[in-house]
Amino acid sequence: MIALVSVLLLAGWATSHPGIEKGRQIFAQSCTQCHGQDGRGNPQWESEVRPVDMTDCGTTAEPTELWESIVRSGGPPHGLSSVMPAFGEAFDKEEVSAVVAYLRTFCTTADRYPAGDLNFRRLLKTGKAFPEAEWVLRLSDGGKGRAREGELELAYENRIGPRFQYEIEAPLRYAAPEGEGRGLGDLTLAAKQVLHFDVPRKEILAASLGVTLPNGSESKGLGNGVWALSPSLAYGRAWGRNLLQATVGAELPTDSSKAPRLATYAIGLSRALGPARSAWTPGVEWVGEVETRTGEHRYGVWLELSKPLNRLGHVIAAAGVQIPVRPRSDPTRLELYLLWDFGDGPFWIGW
Amino acid sequence: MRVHVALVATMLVSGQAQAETSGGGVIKGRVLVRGTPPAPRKVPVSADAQCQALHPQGLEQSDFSVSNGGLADVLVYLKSGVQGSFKAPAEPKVLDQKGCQYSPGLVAIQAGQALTIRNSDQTLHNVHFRPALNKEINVGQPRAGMESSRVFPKPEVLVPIGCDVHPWMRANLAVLSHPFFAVSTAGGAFEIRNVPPGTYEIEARHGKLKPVSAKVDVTGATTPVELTLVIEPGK
Repeated sequence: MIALVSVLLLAGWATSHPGIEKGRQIFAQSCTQCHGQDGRGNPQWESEVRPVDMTDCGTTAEPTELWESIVRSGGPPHGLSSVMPAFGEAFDKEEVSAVVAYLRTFCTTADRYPAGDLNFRRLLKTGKAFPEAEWVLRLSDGGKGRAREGELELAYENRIGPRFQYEIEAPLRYAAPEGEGRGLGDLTLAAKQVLHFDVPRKEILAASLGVTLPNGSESKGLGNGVWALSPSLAYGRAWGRNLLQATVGAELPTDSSKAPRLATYAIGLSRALGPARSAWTPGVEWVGEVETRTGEHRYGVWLELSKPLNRLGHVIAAAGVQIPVRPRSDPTRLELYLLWDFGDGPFWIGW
Repeated sequence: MRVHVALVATMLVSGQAQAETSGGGVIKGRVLVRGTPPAPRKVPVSADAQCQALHPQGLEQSDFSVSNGGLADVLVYLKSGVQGSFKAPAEPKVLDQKGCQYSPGLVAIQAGQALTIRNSDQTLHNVHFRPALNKEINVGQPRAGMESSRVFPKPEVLVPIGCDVHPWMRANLAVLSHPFFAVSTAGGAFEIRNVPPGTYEIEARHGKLKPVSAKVDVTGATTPVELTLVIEPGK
């Protein structure tokens, strides 16, 4: 079992921003009328709209690029209130950067939170290192005729504190190969802790541990009838708009005679074709597993594309196809996901 | 106090008078008002220190600028009957924010004509246009002397303008497809020049009152017109 020990590497990126004093001045001149001097909203301001509470450290999950774009372009391009004006003509790029750096200091423990700049676009198979607050609905379908297998999986992920996330995954098989049945598969409960992050380097590392319950019917092939642990590490790094994400882990059933022990890995490369919160993002993943007893190595390549569906960018869809490499006889699979980052707000806002 | 509005249109079209411009006539007249406008209201501006310094006793505001029975800041335009297309003027119109108020309270432009938005105050204003047909615009202007320029491509009467920082600041924009419009001045006077001969529907629009329209025949001379808007109390 992997110990979930946090490495306190305080990046200090926000408070060390060179223009932070300039940002304070700009905020005082141009923002306090609505946002208040303390960033919690000016109680004297007469408006039906209440500004976001910037002291809420949940706001750290938003990337700097998004904050800056909201300051420049106002609320509507991002599906937010039109009461937020555009300041792109009032402030140059450095001034916008400075004021965003300043307003991010309203969360006084911001340095403990992985910044939203490290919240990289989710790939189909490779796990994320960033602690999320989202629902993810996945569809996986492959095989032909009597061998066809289709599964829907609903995952709920929620964040607690700066770096911890828990997760529940529930798979539902809607199309079963011959001899097996449809129904609810084994549930998985998982916990994730960010071990390290570095905002200037755009790097994040997390460890997670999953526990799979033996609730799925063995006779229908919906489960193995054994408990299983699945420890893993997830890493993410960005170079500009290019993203590298990788996971290594294991699946360790309590009874290896009923289910194989596996070493698993996935590595994905993707590139955002524009601002991260709105861009089409094509990607490629190499996903494999090794059975520890026999040494059998299975792997394949995934080609995929993802895109936020709304202006706020908190509802995202992705689609991809698996090309089996080893063995080539594995069926080609199609996978889709639809995710809602509820940490950014209700599903219906931002369209 | 809210204002009840009803409308009575009165139009007086006299005989031909002397033409004042070549190639077209002049529609000249007044926008009259019937009914008693509500007393000006006192708006506290203490939420903004700069506005408070300019108006230490608060800001006295009225939706109606009435003098000699006439109403200023009313759009008068040819609503129908205009033929052809008209190039937008190169000269921009200006909407200023001065003394924590808009100046003018109604600005009229032609579609495609630039509107210069200026902040003359040492405080943050945002100019928020809420059109139905054109694109919504909300520009933050935190510094005195700042100017922004915007073009509204689609005709639209009227577009509400407001400052979300200072909720008492309200104005209207009129965007027209042609140049045959005017904004009434003190006493309700207006003049629309270079109107080609023809029969038109002319309309008077005020942001708080029901519009009134009438038929007008322009025959190449000065055509006098009176349009009467009615303020109904108690609404």
